[in-house]
Amino acid sequence: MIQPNRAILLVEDNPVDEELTVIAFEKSHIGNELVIARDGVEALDYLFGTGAYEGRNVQDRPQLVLLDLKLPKVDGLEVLRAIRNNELTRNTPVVVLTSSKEQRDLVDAYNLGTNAYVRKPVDFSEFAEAIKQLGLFWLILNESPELFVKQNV
Amino acid sequence: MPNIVEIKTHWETQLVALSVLIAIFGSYIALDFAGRMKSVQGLNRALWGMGSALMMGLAIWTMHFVGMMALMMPMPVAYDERLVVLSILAAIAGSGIAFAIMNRPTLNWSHVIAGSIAMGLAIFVMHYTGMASMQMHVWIRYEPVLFILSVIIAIIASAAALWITFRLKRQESDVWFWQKLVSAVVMGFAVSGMHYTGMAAAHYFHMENTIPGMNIVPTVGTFKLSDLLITASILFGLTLLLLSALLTSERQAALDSAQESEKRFLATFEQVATGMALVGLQGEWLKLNQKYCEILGYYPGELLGMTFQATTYPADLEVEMKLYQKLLAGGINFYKLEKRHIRKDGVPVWVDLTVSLIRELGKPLYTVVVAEDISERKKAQEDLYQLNEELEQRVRERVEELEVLNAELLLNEERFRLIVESVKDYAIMMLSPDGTILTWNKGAIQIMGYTPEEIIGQPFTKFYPPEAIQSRWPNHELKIAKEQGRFEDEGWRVRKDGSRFCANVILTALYDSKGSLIGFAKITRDLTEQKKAQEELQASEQKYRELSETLQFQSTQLGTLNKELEAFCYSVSHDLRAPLRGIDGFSQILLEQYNNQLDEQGQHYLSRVRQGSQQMGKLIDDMLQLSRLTRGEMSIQPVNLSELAKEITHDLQEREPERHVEFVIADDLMVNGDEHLLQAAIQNLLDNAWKYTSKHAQAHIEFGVKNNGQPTYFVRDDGAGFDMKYAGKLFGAFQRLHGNAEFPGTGVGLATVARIIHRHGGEIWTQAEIEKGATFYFTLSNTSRKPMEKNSDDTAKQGHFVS
Repeated sequence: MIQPNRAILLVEDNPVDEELTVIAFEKSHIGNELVIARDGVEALDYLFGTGAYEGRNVQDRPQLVLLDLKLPKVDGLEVLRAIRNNELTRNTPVVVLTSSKEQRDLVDAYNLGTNAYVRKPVDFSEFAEAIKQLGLFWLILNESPELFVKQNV
Repeated sequence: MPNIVEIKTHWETQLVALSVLIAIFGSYIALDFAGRMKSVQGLNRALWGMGSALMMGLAIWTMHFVGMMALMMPMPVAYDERLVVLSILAAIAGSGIAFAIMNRPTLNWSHVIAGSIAMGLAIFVMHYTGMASMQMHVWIRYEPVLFILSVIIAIIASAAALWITFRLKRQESDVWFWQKLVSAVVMGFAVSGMHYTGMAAAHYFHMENTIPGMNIVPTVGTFKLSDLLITASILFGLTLLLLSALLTSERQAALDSAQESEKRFLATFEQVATGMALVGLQGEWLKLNQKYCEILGYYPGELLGMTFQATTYPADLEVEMKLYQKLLAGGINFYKLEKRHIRKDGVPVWVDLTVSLIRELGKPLYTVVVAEDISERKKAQEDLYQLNEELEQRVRERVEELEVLNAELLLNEERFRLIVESVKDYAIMMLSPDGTILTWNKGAIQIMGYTPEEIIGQPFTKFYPPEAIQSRWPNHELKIAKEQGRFEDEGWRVRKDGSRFCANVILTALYDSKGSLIGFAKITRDLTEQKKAQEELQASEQKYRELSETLQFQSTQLGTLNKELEAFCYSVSHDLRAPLRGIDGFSQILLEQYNNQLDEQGQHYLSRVRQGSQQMGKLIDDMLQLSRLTRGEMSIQPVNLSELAKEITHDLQEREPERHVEFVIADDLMVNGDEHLLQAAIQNLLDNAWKYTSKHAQAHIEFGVKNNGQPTYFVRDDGAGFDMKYAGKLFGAFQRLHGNAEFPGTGVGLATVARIIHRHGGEIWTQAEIEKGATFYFTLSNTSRKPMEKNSDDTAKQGHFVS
């Protein structure tokens, strides 16, 4: 059931969080390729094969996007809007992973079509647990329509 | 013995005709004279009467003897002179008696009969006396039938002539002549008819051959001109008749004009619109004109024989009779009187009467009454009187009404005057048209300082400062008020003591009902206080404006600050936690993965690092919550505090099931408020109660309400409590009464609760004692509460949760 060759796109500008997230994934034994985008522009380039990712096969869509909200250049909510507005990525699961517990951010993210909203706990063990649960659910338990589309291609 | 032989007679026809003409002519003169008697009075009347009798007598006599001349006898005849004279006198006397009888204003048939008998007898007696005067040797025998017939002819013909003369109304001049002529012919027939009938009745006899000179053929008249006496008498009679005729014709013109004027008078008398009447001395009506008859309502003939007394209203009679007696006695020539007649139908009629007495030779004859119908005038007078009475009555009533009104008016005026005088806040005064002060009220005394005695009669310019007077401002005010009816001004005025004050002045022109100016009403207000108040108001308004501006500025700044704070908080929540997460995360990784490379001390330090970072994370979260609760809109709706409390306590029990805490939560505490905020408040309070009872093996935590006018909610525990002297610090942020080691916490919770309660318009306070527990009381604003809905859920009864 596990699809190891599908990538996870982690959009995170903070190197500390990036590293902790990577460690948490490793601890959860999730072996998917972890693509890191350090700002919104990079994330969009990856998803739509532009800029640094010019020429990338955009049909090769990530299995999960972990999206921070506070990002340089283009912020996370804009990235989310672009994902949902594009045919290509409309059904891609997006989990907002952020430090913000602001109600406003939550409402905005859900309005724009996020699949889940997870607040990063300060306590690392809690954080690692959260990442593990996320991977378990979205990469293994959850079934998305696009996966079958992808397989047929 | 000589034979008695009837003598043959013969009539000389010319003389017969002459005798008839003489009879007619004489009758004409006599009747004309007699007719004149009617229109004259007194002596004239007597003279005309005697004249007419004389003429009539002479006419009869002359006719007789001329007729005798026509009788031819065979022998001469002598006359007894005494009998001849007697016959003349008889004729004259009989005629006079007849005329006397006939000559009266009112003539009836008995008078006519008596008159005609007298006249007929006069003719008859004269004739047979004349026959008897003949002296001859002849016997005369009369045939009885013709004898009686002669008398009857005399009487009847006389009656006809007299009736025509006296009874017929006088006609127009021409007709009158013929009327007189006819009557004269008739009378002439009476005289001559009697004579010749009488002659025809006579038969003469004599002894044959006894009379000397007697012829067989009658050739000698019975009367000869040679008979001196008879001749003289005839000549005298004829002369007298001719003279009379001459006199008559001379007088005819005058008579005609007199008749004419009489006729006119009569016409006037009849037709005049005024009632006129002749009244006899006894008061008998003699003659009335048409109008008078109309006034009295009788037909003309009906009143003859009645008296004016009988037609006078009894009440007015006494007065008139006095005047009437006086008039008859000669004391006055006439009298005037307004009196009432009684009409035929019994209705009184007012007349204006003038009664004059007509005299002849000093002897009263009759009275002339002129009566004017004044019933209309009297009625008008009566109506006028009536109207006048009514008018006077109405005037009296009106006067009474006016008196009442006037009294009320005076009372009102008095009241009004009292009101005006007692007004103290306004100076009210009356000015004459030239500005002289006429009245002065209490307000004026108070504002201006003058007493009425000092100021009444003074010009109103006294209150104006010199510069205003110099610029003739007061006169200008009066002028404008006069032209426009009103003038309002604000400016400086001067009191008696010379001090000035700011005044509001209203001048109102007063006009009487005819529209002419009678003066001005002047109302003055002292504006000093008002001015002061106004200035103060303006100052405070200014202050308010400034404050408001400051506030506005501050508010704007606050808004900016709030936004900055929001951004700050966002930053804090997002960015401040990231490093902490790094510190904590990597410390744990070190502890986990490099455990064997660290000694126990090193591990302890790392766990301190982790504790610190976690504490800081918590602090940040609490701070964020406090900040969030302070900001943002509240959404007010009914909230069931009991339910919230039950959920929270349930969670607490779940978290530490080993603790033995008894919860007592009142059911259905419904309030209006923001559910999210109230949840946070109750959570904090119950968390605290849970935390501070943690050192006790058995605990009791209660959430309920007390009602002291306003619901007061409380959370009570029997935990550690605190010293009340620190109670003031309790609700400050980051204020703690216990060490973190004793009871962990950030010191933000109660500050948050206080914020929430305050935001709901409520109050929070506490009551505590060390080791006896603490009670937190709070209220929520009245305005935020709405009628509570009763929760029908049976399971929500007050319950005890014991663990």
